[in-house]
Amino acid sequence: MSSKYLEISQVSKAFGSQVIVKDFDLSMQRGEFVSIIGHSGCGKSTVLSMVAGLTDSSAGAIILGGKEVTEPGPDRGVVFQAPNLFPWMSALENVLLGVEQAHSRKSHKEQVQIAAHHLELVGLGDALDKKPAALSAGMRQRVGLARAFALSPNLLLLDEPFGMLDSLTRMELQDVLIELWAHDDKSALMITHDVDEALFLSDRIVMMTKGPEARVGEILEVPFARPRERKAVLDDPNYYVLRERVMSFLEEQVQHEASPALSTAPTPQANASTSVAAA
Amino acid sequence: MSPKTLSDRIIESVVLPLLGVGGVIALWAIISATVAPSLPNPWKTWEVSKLYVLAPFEKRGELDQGILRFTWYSLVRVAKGYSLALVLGTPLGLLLGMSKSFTKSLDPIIQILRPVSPLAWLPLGLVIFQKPEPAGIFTIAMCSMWPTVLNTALGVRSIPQDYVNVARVLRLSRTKRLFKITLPAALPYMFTGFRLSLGIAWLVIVAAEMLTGAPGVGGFLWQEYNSLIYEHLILCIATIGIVGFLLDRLMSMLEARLRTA
Repeated sequence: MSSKYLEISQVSKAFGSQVIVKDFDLSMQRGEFVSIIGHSGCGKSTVLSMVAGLTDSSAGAIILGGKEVTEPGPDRGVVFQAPNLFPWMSALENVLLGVEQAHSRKSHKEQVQIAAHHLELVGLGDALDKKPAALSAGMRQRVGLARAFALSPNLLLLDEPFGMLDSLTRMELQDVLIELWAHDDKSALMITHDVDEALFLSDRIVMMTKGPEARVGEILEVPFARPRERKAVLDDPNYYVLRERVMSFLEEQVQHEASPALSTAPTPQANASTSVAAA
Repeated sequence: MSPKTLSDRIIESVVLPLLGVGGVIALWAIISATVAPSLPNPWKTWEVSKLYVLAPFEKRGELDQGILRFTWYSLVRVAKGYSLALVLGTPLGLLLGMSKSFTKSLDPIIQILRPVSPLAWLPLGLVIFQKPEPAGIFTIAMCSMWPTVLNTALGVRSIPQDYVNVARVLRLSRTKRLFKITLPAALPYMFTGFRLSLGIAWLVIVAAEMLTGAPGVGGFLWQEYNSLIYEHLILCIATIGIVGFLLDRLMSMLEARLRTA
């Protein structure tokens, strides 16, 4: 019973007559890091949004910690693709906004300490009073991470959190994320279309079929020992085997779709996701 | 583009505008000398108005005061009506922006009331309040509140879905959402509404004072028309225009400061 922390069963989502996700099944254990990978527009973000409680499902159920998800809750922290900081508030105020709600019993001083502490954890101890406009894109996403972690959620939901960053910043933030995640035994569900990011961070990679009516295609176990070192992971002979599995799955999805039309179109998604490997 | 020299800039910001003003005054002189002999010419206008301009705060009688003194009365009246417009219009706009059913039920009535002229509101105000002063303020408020209402509603509706999602994920309370997110996010739109409303409030002052005979630029204008001192009409028009322009610039400056903040 307790081993299944999150259970997504037979979940579908339709917008009008368009069925985006159909019969999506996934269960997650406490403390697990799971990535969902798939082509753009396949419905990955819709799944995450349903787990976050921001979008209702059309059919099926999402059970989190024994309770059905119907709305956003304090047990989940969300990191969006864009940092979505409020430009009229400083970094500290942005983080504090959620802290005041999540730790409403604590004194204001303690709340400020919690917010400041989490900004220090993501390396922004010197930028507490800066407005988002004065921060770089990477720093803003750090604030986004701090805001989510400062709520002390059990489950982190990350919607392509580093998709808008250059590859160096992206790797830096992956390290920050993995450190924060390991720190107090959280579970994490992350959307990405970057294969290397998924391999480095996850315990399992869930590959989604191309929409419409997207569902779970394959699930890949990522056996690298933790704590992970980026270099050790890249040097592991298994790495390229696993990487190949994910890549060929994604390529199959595109060919599968293109085959009736006898198309020789390139696979832009697959190409895009390999770009980080070169870095 | 090559950098502008100082003399270029002087030509652009001083010489050209002066040429424009000079041209209009010349045209005015020509018109009063030819087709409209009852229109006082520029020189006569100055001669007759001089007393009111050079002693702008002088009070010689109830309806015989310096032009800036009249302007001050009008500004106070506009300030009252405009404040009332903001006090009524801002919450109404917030409600319209936040609730679809509220919009559906009130939008038709707003669209119908919006184009109603101050000349139509004023008699109704006199009927309701039985006194000219509150009727004038009521008229200013009724005419000038709509840009505030509509822009505030637009600002609230234009809040990015991402902000709404963050607010939901952080489970902010209603009041916190209103004060920490909705209002700051809508503020630039609201300020555009405030600026347009002030413009209308000032526009309406003449109508409000004309019909009530209250002392002020508009009341003075109407009285001087009735006393056949047409030079003062032009003085009043110029004053109203300049004050309106200054008010708009002032609001624009506040607005610009707000956007960069």
